[in-house]
Amino acid sequence: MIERDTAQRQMVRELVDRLFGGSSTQMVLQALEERPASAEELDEIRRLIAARSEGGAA
Amino acid sequence: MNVQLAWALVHFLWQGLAIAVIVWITLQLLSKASSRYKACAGALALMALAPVATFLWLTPHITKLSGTRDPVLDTADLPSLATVQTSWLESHATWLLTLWLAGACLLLIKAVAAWLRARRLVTRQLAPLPADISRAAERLAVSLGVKRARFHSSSRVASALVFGWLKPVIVLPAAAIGRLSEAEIEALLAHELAHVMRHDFFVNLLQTFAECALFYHPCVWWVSARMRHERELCCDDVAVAVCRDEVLYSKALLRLEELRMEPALAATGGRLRDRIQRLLNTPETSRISAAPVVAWRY
Repeated sequence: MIERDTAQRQMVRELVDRLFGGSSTQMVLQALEERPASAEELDEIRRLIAARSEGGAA
Repeated sequence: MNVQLAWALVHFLWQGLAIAVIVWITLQLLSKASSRYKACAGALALMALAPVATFLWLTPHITKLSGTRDPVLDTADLPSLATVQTSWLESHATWLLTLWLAGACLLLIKAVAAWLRARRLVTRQLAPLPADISRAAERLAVSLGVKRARFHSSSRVASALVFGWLKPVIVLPAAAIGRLSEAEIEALLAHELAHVMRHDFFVNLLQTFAECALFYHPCVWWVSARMRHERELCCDDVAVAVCRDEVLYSKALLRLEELRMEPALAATGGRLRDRIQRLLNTPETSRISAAPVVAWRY
């Protein structure tokens, strides 16, 4: 009985995940952006930080 | 009643656009993230109220109209354009409302699904934070006036995040522990605690309801996305005010992003880059708005 219950719940969950893309980002508040940054963007960020660190030290 | 509701939704097309234009102009004039956030929040609240107000205003208006219209139609040879439009909307009101309700319900189900998934994320496979970080987190929470926040780590999250309003749960990615310095982790925790302090979770729920109900208006999505972005900037400001080092906080964000291990193949709009650029370029005085809040509680 319990097994069937869990199986049913699993099925509903999979259906919901498939229908709606499986994202929880709408309901959490996260420090990073929803989509990961690209390699170029990461490079640019590193440059920005390096420039500022040098400027601060000089 | 269907007709009034359909009219309220149709009138919202121009009302929403007018509010968006006003908020766009306002945003050009405001520089502080906290003011910009308030402008967006105010605009979204107005957008949510506009159809309700229109509906209430139309209720006596339309009943009066339908009482007097029939004799007018009898005498007029050619119905005016307004009359034609009115009757089109009246005959299709139920259809329009059905479509609107279907769209709104679909998005509401999506939001509930996201909620359930987020709750699973903060209730399963959690690990406690190392003792020293946990102590630092509790100390930070007290200094920011946040009560009842719980702290965990999880290997299933990519970013530091918070879920919940009255009993918020803050989760750090397990990969960040040990790879980021304690000061960097504290700065990220300050960002999340700022969300708690500002009741952002609850506001985000209201915001999501507004998006669901007014989904058919692109201006609603635009203002809402703007509001989400400004909210992050506000919390960035609190984090920097707490750790007093924008380079350290920028590095913390960068490290966290690097740990995702799945850089996007195409450019994604560079939102994180813009945030970090803003942190590093903003003179101290423009961020001062966050400082009194923190200084007062520190």
